[in-house]
Amino acid sequence: MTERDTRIRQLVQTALAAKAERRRELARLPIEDKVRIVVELQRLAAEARRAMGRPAREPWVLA
Amino acid sequence: MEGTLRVLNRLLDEGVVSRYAIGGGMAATFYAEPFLTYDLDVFVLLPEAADGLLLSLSPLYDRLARDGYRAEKEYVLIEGVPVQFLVAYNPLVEEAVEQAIEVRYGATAARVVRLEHLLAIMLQTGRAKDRERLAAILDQVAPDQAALDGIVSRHGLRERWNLWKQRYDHD
Repeated sequence: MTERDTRIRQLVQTALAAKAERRRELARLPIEDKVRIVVELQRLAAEARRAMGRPAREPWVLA
Repeated sequence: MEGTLRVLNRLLDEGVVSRYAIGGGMAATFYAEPFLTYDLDVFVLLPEAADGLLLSLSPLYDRLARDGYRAEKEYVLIEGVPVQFLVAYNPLVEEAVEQAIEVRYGATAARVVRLEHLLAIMLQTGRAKDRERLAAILDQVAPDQAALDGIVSRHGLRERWNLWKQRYDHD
């Protein structure tokens, strides 16, 4: 393995570790905030599906 | 979603269901990161039918319809959230509903399956997304290992659990 390969591997590992930590932070949010994120995910997924000409389910409508 | 939970609690108070517990992607979201999900999966235990007939979700749907919540395909839209009711379909799910914990959502109580039951149900269901979610959840929260082991043993999931641990390199 070259020095360049080692460096790339370190960068990828750092990025993956940061991503995992971000997910653990999200896990610690209050449930009300998490549900708001779920609805935002639903909205983004619907937009992406429509952009691809595919049927999409509507996001939840929270009071 | 609080309005939806209030309706579920009303079903419980009125005896339309004898118990309920949130499962699926929303239960996973209670414990871990938010997961994309479209339905609120609600496991229910139904009261014993007085006439000895098979248990049916019809009285539940009828009660909801009286409040204007109508079934569409496999779910009922309740206060903006599609809710899928599933009669507890095996001993593991029955146990999960019976031992569900009560949590707060805003000012409202909600019953959610315990983390260890959620993991076992995912293992038992075994779809690709369940296996992936299982890995994600275990990376973020620590289950009660003794409780999980007990559930895995009681419900004949030991082999699946060992296979899953091998595949995901999980200790």
